[in-house]
Amino acid sequence: MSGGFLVLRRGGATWAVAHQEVRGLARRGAAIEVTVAAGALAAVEVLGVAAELRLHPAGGVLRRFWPEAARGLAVHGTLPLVLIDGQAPPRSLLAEPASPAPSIPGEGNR
Amino acid sequence: MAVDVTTAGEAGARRRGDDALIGWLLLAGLVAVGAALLAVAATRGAAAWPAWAFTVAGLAAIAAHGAWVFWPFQRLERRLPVEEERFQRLDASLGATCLHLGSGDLVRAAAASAGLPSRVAAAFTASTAALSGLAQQIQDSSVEVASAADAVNRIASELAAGSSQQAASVVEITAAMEELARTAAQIAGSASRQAELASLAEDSGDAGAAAVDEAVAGVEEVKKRISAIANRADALGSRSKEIYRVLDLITEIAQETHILSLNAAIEAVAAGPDGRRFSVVAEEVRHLAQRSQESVESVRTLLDEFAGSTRATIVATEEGSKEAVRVFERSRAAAAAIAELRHTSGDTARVARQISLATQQQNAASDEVVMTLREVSLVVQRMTGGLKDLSATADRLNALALEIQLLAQSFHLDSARSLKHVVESWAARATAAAPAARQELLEELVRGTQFADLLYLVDERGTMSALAVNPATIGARPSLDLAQLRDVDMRRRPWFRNAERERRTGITPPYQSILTGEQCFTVCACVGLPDGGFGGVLAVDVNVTGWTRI
Amino acid sequence: MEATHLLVRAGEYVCALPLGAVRQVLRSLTLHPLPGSAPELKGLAEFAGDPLPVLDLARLARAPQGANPVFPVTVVAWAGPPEARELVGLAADAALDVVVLPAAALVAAAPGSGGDGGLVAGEAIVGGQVVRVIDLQALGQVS
Repeated sequence: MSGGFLVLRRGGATWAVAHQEVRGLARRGAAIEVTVAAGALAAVEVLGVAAELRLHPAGGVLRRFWPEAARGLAVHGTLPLVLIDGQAPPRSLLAEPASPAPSIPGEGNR
Repeated sequence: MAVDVTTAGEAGARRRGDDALIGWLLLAGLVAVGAALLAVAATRGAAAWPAWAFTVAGLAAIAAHGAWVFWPFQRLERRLPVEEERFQRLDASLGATCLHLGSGDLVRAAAASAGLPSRVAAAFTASTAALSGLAQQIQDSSVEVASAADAVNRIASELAAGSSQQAASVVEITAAMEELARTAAQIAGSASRQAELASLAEDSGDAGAAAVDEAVAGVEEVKKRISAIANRADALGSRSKEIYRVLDLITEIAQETHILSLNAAIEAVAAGPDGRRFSVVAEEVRHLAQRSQESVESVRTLLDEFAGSTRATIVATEEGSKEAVRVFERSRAAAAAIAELRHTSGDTARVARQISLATQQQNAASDEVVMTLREVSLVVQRMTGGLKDLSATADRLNALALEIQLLAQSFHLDSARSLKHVVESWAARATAAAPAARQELLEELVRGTQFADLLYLVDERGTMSALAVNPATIGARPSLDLAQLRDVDMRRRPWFRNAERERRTGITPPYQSILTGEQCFTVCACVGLPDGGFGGVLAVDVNVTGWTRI
Repeated sequence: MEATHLLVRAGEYVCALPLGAVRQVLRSLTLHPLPGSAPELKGLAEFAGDPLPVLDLARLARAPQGANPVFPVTVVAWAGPPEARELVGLAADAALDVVVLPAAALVAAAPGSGGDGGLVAGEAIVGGQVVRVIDLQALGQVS
């Protein structure tokens, strides 16, 4: 599959996001935030960009033991990675929501 | 043989008168003869003037002789009886005076000297006064001597008591010093034994030190051997590690070969019937790998055993090395302790020898002290003897003082300290008192004295008619029974006979009183009868220990 | 009918994998765990340039934990039904041998002996020890 992919690392695993699904890329502190259709994804590291990936479908075994939506599996260099679906990225990739501002008693009820 | 002075003087005066007449006559005769001869000479041609001068001178001499010799002698012869009478009077007075003086009665001597010429009387008075003063001085001196003798006696007694205590103390000190000497000898013996033991300890220390040195050398050698063994064991361990690495490599190769054989078997199965021979080969390879693995395991097992033994050997050698180190350290410590012990033993031996020497010196000093104490004891004994002699001398001095006092008291002085004077006055009062009142008088008199033990009256018949005891001097003596003495005839007593004969107050020498049993002397004065006759004797017994209270 | 099986050790069990389904036996592959995965999924590995999900065979067989493996292996095998088979890796403690098991030797697995999920097809006695035969076709079926 071609078109360019953004290769990320997060949670000890390697992930890829298709360029066309990347809506934004920003640094948030020490993390890297990738904005996709489903929202912001947080990455520890951006390993680079892969021009193309040879995708393998996520088989039943993988789905049995990892029921996350994924467009497929590939290898980038020697690293196996998961090509995520920007519409339904793995929950472990989602960026943590920002902590809410301290509220004044009674103000939140307005 | 007395010389009749008056007769001799009278005869002498007559003889000198006669001599003067004869002399005058001779002188006249001589002048006449001389004148005659000169006249003859003148007739024969000599000058006539010498004859005339001679004649004149002769006549003048005859006249002078008559004026100055013959006539005075005649006057003197006329005055001789008067003077002779006066001389007799003076002689009597002088005789009485000298008699009283010779008997020591200075009072009567002074009275008798009143009849002497004034100058003589004054001289006698002065002499008796001087003698009286001298006698009183002698009395006083004797009292002082007696007091000094008492003081000396007292001091001698105190010194004797002190000497006794001193002697006892010396005995105690001597005993203590002898005990100390014995103890010092024991200490010396112990110190000597201690020195010997310390010397033995020194010798043992030397041997011990040598043994420890050998042990240390041996331990060092053992350490070296153990170190060499440990090094070899380390080398073996290193080789074992290398072998283990090789085994690991072989194991890995075997594993890889095993996996390869499995993969070969997989390929053989995948190849189907064409792969059967390949599967056989794969199986052989698998077996080869299995045998390799088994060999490796065997070798590993052997190597493990060998490594275990080597480790055990290493551990043992390490333990042995540590133990050798500990032994070495202990040996070093033992060597140090032995050195310290030797040093201490040396010090102990030296100190013991010093103690032994010091105790020997102390022993010698103790012996010297004991000898000195014995000499001191002898000195004390001699001093005690000397004090006894001193006491005896003081007693003799006391006796001498008494003799001197009695000698002084032999003078009748006009003094309250003159016994004769006092007793004579008492005798005069007794003479004046009625016989019935004499007992009371004696008791009154004796209570007023401090020196008289007894006052008693013995009448002219020698019978004791009154007796008074001085309670202050006699004290708690058994009372004397006058009745026991009534039968005693005192006329035989020397003092009674002397008094009766001499009619003078006398003092007896010291004697033992039959009444008190103690040494005393008696002052006896005559008691007169109304007619002036001998009425008896008033006797006063004075204890020899109380005469200083006179 | 006999079938050749690959014997592997998984925990304290000896499991038999049909050799026909085994692609290759390798030394343990480097694994990259996937966050949020089940414990049976040890992670993804790279095999011959392709991604390979690797499963823990001992967990799959419900085998009691054994001693630490000396020479762990990854068995690359075809799992799932024949029409949808896929290569998976099975992490085992050791690859033991290749044996032939007669079909008659296969007996049903004892209750509670690892048949959870239907992966243990049966048991056999090989060399005096119990061998649990793994059904790889059932591995790809979602339970």
